[in-house]
Amino acid sequence: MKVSRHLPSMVLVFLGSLAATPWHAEPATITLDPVHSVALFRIQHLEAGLFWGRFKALEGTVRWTMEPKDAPVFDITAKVANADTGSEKLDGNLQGPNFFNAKEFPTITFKSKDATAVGDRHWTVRGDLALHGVTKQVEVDCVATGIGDGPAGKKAGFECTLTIKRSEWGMKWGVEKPAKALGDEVKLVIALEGDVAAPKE
Amino acid sequence: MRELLAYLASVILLPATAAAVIASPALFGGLRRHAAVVDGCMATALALAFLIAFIHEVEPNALLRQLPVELPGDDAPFERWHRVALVALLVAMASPVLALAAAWRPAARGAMAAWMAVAAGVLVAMLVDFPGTTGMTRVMTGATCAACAFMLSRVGGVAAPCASMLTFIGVAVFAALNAFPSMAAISTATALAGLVLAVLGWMGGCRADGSRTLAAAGATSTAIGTLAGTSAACVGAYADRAPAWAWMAIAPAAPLAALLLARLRDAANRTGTT
Repeated sequence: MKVSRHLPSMVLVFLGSLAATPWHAEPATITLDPVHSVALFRIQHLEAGLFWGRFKALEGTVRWTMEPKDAPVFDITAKVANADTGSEKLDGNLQGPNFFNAKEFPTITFKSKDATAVGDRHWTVRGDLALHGVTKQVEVDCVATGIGDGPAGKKAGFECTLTIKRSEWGMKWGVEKPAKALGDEVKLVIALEGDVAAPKE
Repeated sequence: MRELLAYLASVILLPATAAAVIASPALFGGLRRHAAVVDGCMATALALAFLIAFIHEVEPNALLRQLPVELPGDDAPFERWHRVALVALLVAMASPVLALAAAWRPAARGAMAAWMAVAAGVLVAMLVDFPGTTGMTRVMTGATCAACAFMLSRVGGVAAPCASMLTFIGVAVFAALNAFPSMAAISTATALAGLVLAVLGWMGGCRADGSRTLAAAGATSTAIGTLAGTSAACVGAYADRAPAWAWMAIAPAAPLAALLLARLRDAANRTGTT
């Protein structure tokens, strides 16, 4: 059998290309689109109905390799002034010192630290939630909802959910005094969409 | 309903009851002869009523965080409006000293009360820093406290606690209208304490041997002025929907009215005797 005299060089080129290719892709930076990124919150009112409100116009970035098994890294900021309940009066109340105290704590941030894969494009993300001047670690259930094509390039979306006790962040009005006016548990559903920038070479 | 009643009892009725317990011995009976005791007890009662209402409405740690005290397991933040509690604590602690100082030389009581008003204003301007305040705002807060205290030092009898009741009703309404329910509750409690002191002071005066006007110039005037001015400024700092000058009008309104009424009464008495 004749062996091509070019075989050794071809093998060398192949091995070289393998060495140059990283085993994991570089993460792309996904810059959140404020119009399409929102955080919904739900709280019980007077032990009766479950009331929904939202923080619109979320800002920040998600760094993700776009690989199903690689967890995204979130750095998200919500402005308390963007609270929207459908009632202007209630929006103003939420800014006040008995609730978010927006004058002293104008932003809510989440920065993820690590994550565990629980399925395809599904992770439990652990990170620091800074709210009302208190920072605590939380676990967030995150799903990559899709990657699509937008007018300016690729877009990626995520949906994250978690439940917190607001009293742990010092927001106690209505939990005990006046008793049971507002629930302690708050469910958060965070929908994110952002523009994918190509990773730097 | 039971929880609401318990809340109202703890935040509003309990502080007024405490004020009555503290001030009653001084407003009835033999102790009423001693101006320092009356003045000190009324001032301490009002300041403690405010403080008790704050602690019940918020939590004790909200005050303790401002003191050099270790609080294990406490990770809630210090919020600048909690400073009103520290002011109330300092007023309560200083009231007996102020009362003794004002009574030391009765002839100079008015001048002593005026200097106390100025000192209280300076301390408030230095200590109190609500969100969005500037140097000028802090000076205005101190000046408002001093003005309230000065005007109240010029009225006698039950006019001072009556003025405090009206002032704190005004602050409570202002707070309620501007989405600050905690300050509304605390101010309501303090207003009720003022009413209780006014009623007890009047009842004690009816029973006293001869007319004994309550001595309010000194500790009482300083306490009311300091708490009223600070509370109004606190609500004003968070009241985005209200004009910036609103809180500066609310705090001195009742003391000014009391002073004007006292002057009119004095003028009428002089006219009657001539």
